[in-house]
Amino acid sequence: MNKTILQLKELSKSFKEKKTELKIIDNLSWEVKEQDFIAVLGKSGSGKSTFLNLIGILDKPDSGEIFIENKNINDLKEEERDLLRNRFLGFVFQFHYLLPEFSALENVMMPALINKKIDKKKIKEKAMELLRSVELEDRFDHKPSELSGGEKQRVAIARALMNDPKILLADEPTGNLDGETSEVIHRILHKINKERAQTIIVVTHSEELANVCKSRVYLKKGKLEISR
Amino acid sequence: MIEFFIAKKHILERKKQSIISILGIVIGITVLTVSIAISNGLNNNMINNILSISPHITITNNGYYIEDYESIMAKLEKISGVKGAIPTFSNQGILKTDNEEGSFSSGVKIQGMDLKKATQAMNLSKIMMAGKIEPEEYNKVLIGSELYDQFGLKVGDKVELTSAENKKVMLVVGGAFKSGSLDIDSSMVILPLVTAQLISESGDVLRSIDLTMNNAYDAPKVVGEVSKIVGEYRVRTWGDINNALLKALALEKTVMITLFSLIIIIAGFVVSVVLNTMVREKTRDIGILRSMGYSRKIIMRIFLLEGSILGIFGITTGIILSFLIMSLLKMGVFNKLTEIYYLTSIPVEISFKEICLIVGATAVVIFISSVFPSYRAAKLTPVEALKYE
Repeated sequence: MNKTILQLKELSKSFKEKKTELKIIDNLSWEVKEQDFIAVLGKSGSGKSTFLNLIGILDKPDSGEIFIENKNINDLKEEERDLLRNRFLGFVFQFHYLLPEFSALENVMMPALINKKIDKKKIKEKAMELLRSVELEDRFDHKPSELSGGEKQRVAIARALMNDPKILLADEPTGNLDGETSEVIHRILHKINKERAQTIIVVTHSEELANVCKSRVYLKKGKLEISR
Repeated sequence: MIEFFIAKKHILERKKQSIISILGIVIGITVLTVSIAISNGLNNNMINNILSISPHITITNNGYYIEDYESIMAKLEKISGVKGAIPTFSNQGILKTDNEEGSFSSGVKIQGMDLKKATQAMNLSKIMMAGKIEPEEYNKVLIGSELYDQFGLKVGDKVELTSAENKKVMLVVGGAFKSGSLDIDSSMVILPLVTAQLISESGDVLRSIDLTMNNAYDAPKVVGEVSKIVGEYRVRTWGDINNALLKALALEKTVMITLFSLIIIIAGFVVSVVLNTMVREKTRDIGILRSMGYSRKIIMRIFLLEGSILGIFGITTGIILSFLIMSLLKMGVFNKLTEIYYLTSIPVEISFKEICLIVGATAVVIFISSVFPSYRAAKLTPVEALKYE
């Protein structure tokens, strides 16, 4: 039995819109085990991205608790949360979000460069290895503007894996790609989960991507419904 | 250092904006440095001109003559730092000449001095542009260069000098001196002390005892000691006598520095605007960095470093350019301008302390200008930065 890596307890988040309060996440409790590959599905506006921001410690809940490896996020200071995000979590966004001034290799190196204890040469070697693993060995020095949409997203995946995160969080990773390119990303995510035993949580609309995942949950009216 | 790596990329990717910021700082630093150097040069030039022919300390007897001066002078000359004591008798008079160039007359200040002592203590021979000083030739007069040229005089010409006591004497032009001060050079004649006393019918008395110092700026330090020796006589330094002028020069310099400092403030404003634009353009990138675990402190340091890099480049280039311009000024490249101001070349002088102050003040202005945009960048939450369109 794999151990629990992420635990949500009675999590709530709402937004104020004019005078009405919009409850996006409502008293939600959930557990994610190591090596899980979960698709979070839901309609547009159902709060999928807000949900991902909360478990990615990018946003704070109104109430409830988030535990990552049994550490209560609420007890952490801001700098500790930053450090946790750096060491335990990796993000892939819908629009690649690569830094335009930097080459593909530099973009991948970026999360590790905060850690001054690691030798820059080792960081570079690891970034090259990751780019090779997403089949971009001939794109090291290319800037984002010189890459195709699929290539950019593969660089973003390599970047998210740079610090060997405990959980990889992906927000509509194929939402902006055509069918053929999306399939490449599906294959890569599947490979990462299988070969690296990587825990992955994907927020998506795509049934094809959800089918690649080991399990799926639906976000409806602020609560999760487990499907398979 | 990751902050430097990112800051460098931001600056290099926005060359145009970066160059504009650096240029602003360069212009500010250069204008301020060169202006201060010229102002210092002109002020010091003026002071040096005054001091070339004026005493550093003047002792007078409140409008009366000084008698028995020899014993006082002997004591004064022993004071440490005093180069020499010159017995002086000054008066007003009218200088007349009649030569091939025509007839001229002009009111003059008659400065009667012991020329032997004055030569030693004032370096009078250094400012001679024609003729020479002959202390034992009592019928010879030294004339200010402007007056000398205006009257069309030559060494050996005869001139008539009428004193305020209406005593006329015929004198021979012994030479002309150029102090560098237009006022002095167009209105002063120097006579041997005995001659000045004679035409004033005063006897062997003085109007003043003039002291020169090894260093003119040490004059205030010996005033107390001088006063003890001379008793009731009035003791004034060159600073006291030219107080109004020195105050005016200081005020002029303060106003100039204040005005030109505005250019530095504008340069700081440009840096602030450029960094603010950069923060706005980079808002999403800030969100990405925050999602990777980059702390607010790192984000703040990135933008502070960007401001600092622009500042360092601007300040260094500005200082180099200032020295280049000052060298050209010293070499006389812009000498056309100097003719108007009775100068041989534009004088430039700046101290290491003043350069440090300009650099320090500019660095502070640029740093303060960088703080607000950097703080704005650091304040962004990851979610609002990522959502930024």
